[in-house]
Amino acid sequence: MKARRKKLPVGGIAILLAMSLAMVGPILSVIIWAFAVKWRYPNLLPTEWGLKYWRIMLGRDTVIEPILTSLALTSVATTMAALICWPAAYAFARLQFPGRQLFLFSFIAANAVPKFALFVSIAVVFLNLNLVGTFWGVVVVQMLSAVLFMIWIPTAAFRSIPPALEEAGFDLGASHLRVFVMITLPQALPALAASYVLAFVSILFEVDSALLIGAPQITTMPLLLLSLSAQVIVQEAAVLCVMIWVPCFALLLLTRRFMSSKGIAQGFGA
Amino acid sequence: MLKVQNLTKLFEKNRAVSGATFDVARGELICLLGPSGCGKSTLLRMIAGLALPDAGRIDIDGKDVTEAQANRRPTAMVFQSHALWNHMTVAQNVAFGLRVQGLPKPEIAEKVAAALTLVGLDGFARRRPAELSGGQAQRVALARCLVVEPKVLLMDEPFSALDAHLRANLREELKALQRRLRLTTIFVTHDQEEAMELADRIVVMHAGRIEQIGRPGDLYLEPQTLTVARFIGQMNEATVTLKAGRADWLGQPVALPAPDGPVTLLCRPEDLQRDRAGIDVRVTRVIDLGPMIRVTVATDEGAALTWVCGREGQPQTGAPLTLRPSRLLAYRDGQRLGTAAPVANRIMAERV
Repeated sequence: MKARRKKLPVGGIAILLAMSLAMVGPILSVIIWAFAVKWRYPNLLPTEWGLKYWRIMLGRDTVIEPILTSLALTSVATTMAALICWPAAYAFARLQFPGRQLFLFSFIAANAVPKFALFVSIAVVFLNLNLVGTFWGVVVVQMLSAVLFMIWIPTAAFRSIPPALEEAGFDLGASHLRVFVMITLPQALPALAASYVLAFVSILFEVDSALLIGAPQITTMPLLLLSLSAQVIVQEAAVLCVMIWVPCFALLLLTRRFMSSKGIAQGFGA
Repeated sequence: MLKVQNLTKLFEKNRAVSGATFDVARGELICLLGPSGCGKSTLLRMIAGLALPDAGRIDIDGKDVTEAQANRRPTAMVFQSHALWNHMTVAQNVAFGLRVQGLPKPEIAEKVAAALTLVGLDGFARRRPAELSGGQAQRVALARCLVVEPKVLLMDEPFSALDAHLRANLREELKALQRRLRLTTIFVTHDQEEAMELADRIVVMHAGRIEQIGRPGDLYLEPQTLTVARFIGQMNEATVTLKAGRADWLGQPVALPAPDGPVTLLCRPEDLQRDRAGIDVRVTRVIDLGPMIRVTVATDEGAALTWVCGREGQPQTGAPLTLRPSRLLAYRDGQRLGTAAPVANRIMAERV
């Protein structure tokens, strides 16, 4: 056993490296582009580095505003989705009611429909309600993107909490609400946090809803990115990309830190 | 202290618990004993208020609590899985019930420390449940209940996940603590040895019904139903036909004053003695249990009997023996009929 363990799994490391390169490579290229002033073929690296395009991008109102809009939209939509979905997830996990499985699967069904088609039909309804082109219109549609994360992960998390943990609290005189706040919620917190971050990031990068419901009054960051990508200056898109990527990556790292990856896996019912 | 009357719980039309009635006196420890699925845990959960009965009534300390939710009942329960909250420290776990009551902090701290001392876990206050051994975790779970001074302490197979040695130790500790604090306790177990050791009285359950309630010794010596007789301890069993108060049990004539008909006669292994005027058997297996020897024998007709004897006079496998039952419990239709006595003379039985 010992002799075998000492031997390096060369094949495994090679596969790991290849996979890492495939995943990190594109991100790396974007990061390099963001700090490149001149980068022409056939040079492997940029010939001129600098923060020129950062200054240009940060100097434009048309850049800062969509970022702020996006953050506001995403925060509101994710938080509202959490307030609605988490109690629902608890109900799915703890209560037995007819059609429970059907309801759960309906959330997947909604996600299997191409979003674009779904949003077009929603846009028609919203036109009549005067919600098209408004902040709240976009929030409502964006919440839809969060439902899957916000229902499935928390449901699995709540279900993985042994009922005896809640019963013990209830038995010692605590009310249902108190048991939920003092026992259930802390037990489920890692998975709830994971669902929040995943939903937040997926909403942040969500293009279709803003495009169909928000535009042109509401311009979000992904829309800005789209318009920049249509132009030829690679660096401008790259700078924006890094600007978005850094906080999202930090957020994901943070959740990873304050919960074990086991917690995330549990969230998915593993 | 606790009065349970005609308590019934249906599970999808099956009766999980059917017409359970018993009393528990102040300071008494009652064991609910039965095989898994017999309804003992369901009965306990109804007393706790974690399951609501479909019929019947529960009184605690003279107050009807049948409709009260678990958090409005003066009971506290120790779960099989200990059910400690791993996001809290040991002290926070124990303090929970007191915090819910809204006690001032210094008082809580004092009581928590006292409870931890009581279960022998001084210095464990800041530990996390994940850092505890199984036995320690169950002690914390007990402290968490004791600290709220429940009128009735409920324990649902609290030691069944622990190894035998630790289980025996905890059992002794629990019994000592229960006596000292005069805790009214209901303890659920499927382990008859555990029940025998702990209980002042045992409630034997089978298929949702209470079969018999009695002190451990009484249950062993005078089981009132065939189910109890079979469940508690070992028995040698044979069903025979009774005619004019006489029957033949594996070649041993016995007398029983009862109407004619089939009767099931059971004999404890220790109620068999070597006696020349007995049943001819041959030793098939000898098991050395340490303090005693368990011997399996076969009659000429091939029926197997279990006999226990002391270390001296230990027989060899294959050796012939004559064994005589001194006491046989008689049952008909599952109910106790009486005690059959062996008839001294073999010829007398043949005349019948």
